[in-house]
Amino acid sequence: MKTYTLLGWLSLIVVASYAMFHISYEVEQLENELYAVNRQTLEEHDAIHVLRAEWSHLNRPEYLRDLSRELLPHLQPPGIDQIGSLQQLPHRDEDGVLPASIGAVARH
Amino acid sequence: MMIGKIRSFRTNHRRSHAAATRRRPCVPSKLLPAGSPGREAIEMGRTRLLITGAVICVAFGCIGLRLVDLSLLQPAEEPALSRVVQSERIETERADILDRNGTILATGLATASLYANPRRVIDADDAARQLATVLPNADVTEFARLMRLDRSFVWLQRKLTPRQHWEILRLGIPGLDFQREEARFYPVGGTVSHILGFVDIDNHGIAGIERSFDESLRGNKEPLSLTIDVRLQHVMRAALSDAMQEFSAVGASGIILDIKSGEVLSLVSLPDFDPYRAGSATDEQLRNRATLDVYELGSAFKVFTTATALDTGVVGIDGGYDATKPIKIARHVIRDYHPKARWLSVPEIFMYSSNIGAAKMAMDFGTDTQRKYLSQLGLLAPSPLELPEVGAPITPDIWRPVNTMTIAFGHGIAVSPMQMASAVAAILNDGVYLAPTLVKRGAGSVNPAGRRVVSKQTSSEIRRLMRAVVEQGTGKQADAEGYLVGGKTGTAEKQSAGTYARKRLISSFVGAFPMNAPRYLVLAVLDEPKGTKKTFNYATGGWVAAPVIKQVVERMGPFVGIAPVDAASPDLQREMAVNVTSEGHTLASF
Repeated sequence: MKTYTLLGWLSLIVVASYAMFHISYEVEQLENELYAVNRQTLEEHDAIHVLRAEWSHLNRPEYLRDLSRELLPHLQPPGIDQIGSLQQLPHRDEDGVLPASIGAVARH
Repeated sequence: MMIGKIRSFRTNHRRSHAAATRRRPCVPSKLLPAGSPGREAIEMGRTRLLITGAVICVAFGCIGLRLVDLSLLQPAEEPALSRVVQSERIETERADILDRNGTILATGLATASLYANPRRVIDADDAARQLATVLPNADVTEFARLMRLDRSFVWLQRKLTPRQHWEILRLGIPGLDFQREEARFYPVGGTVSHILGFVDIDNHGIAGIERSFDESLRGNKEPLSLTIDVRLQHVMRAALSDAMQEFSAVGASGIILDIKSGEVLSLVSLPDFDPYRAGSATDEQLRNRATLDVYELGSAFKVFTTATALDTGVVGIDGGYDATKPIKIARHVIRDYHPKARWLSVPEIFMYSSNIGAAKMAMDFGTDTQRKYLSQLGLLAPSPLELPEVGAPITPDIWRPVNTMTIAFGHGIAVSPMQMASAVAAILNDGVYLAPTLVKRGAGSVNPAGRRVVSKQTSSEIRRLMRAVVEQGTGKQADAEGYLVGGKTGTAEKQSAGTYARKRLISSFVGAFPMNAPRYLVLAVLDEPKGTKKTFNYATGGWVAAPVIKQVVERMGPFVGIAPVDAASPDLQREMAVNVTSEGHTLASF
């Protein structure tokens, strides 16, 4: 009887220690993973920071002006006749047909 | 539970040990007689074995306990390691500077700086030669000298580009190493150079916003938002730079101000510099002409003179003065640039820029009143703008009547373009002066209360007069169609060695739009412009600076959301009407 009790205790100790160390190693591994992910996040932050600066650099107005002169030679700054307000737009009539004046403007 | 188990294990052990001691006298007594030397030796051996066993048991017990302690009872230490990396944002030495729309104007980027440990460098000459193949404008002999010094640290080149960093790594020279340093980067380049200023190699601000906000930029991680709009800055700079070329001017400056809040949307000074090569820029390039330089700005001062006269009531908008003959005072003669040689109404004095009329107005309200109003408009003290480069105005030491008369048309007093802009903005802002600012206020915060300088009524009269200048006076070339521009020209001769130089002019135009409810003020100043054939050799404000205003207003109108209006509509005509000639004084020839 005494032997069984001892064996029981021993096996309990073995199982408990195995479980404990197993969990401990798993936690360690997860922590390593977390560390790697955090590092990567930081690196990505760094990259985003550089990209933001680049975006700002590539959007500087002189550069855009030169590009638009080269690639969009027919684009002009908007004139005052190209700017209107919503109130100036005519409503559709009851049948949902656009008024004739709109068509004229669109064709123009 | 674990501890309990171990404890029970150890008590078991102790019990068996005690049992062994109890049994001891029985067993050996059968083999050896008590008192014999063999028996003593065996007993001694047994005792030693027991002691050793006990010590080993205690040691293992301790190790076991410590194991349990480490693996179960001290969980706090491990995650600390991962928390260090868990940083939300990049740690930068200096906070970013943004424009009003969030465009990055200045930021810090990590770069590598190259240093050498000369004690570890094997062949200094060879290392220097190899480095020179990678670094442009590297001095081979200087590098070799540095690497032969008896030290363990010398900087070779700071703030390398990523490509240079990589190439040097590839060379694999022993004794060289890198240190991470932050380099200040200005993505939009020279466009905002005078506003931002620049930093030295150790990232200390030494000019512009970088200097005036040095401490908060270094301590704070939150970016600093300016009121500047990069797009407007570009529009202003391009227009000024074209005008500077066309009229061969030596310099130019321009300001766009939000009249309702005092925010500076654009501040340009030409020639400007490349912020990366600020060290090699000339003084001419580094000088901020818009805030540091003070000029006699000429006729634009008639805005203040007329406003003072109307506000104090010495003359009404229907009144006028006789401008038939030049005024002789002391050794000076005050003449008109466009002489009409007749009685002029107040609107005419303003529109035709009559010096005689302005001088007479000033004599009517007197020196003290003039000083009071100019001081209220912020023209007698340096501008409160948040830049270190702010010039103090030059005013007469003793304010004699002749000074009062010349100051009435902008001579004998020198102010910076920035002061001029805020003073005119004050008159147009229903007469309330607001301090100009470069730093954007937080969302939802209200504009600070300004100080009232002139009445609403006066403000409205000056608006109409300024509109009349553009509609039918000296500023016609500033009339951007649909935006109801108003303004005032200014042309002054530059002083050199105490006398005025006829050919060296400061030509300016201060404009605002839309004049029925002024929102934006645009100021352009050209330094020493020369007339061209197209301008019939005129280099006055109306010919050289007014077109800049027109160009800027046309470009900025659509994206600041000012709807174009029909200036010829009867409502606006009535609102902006000015009775140019008064009854009873109208001449038949006019």
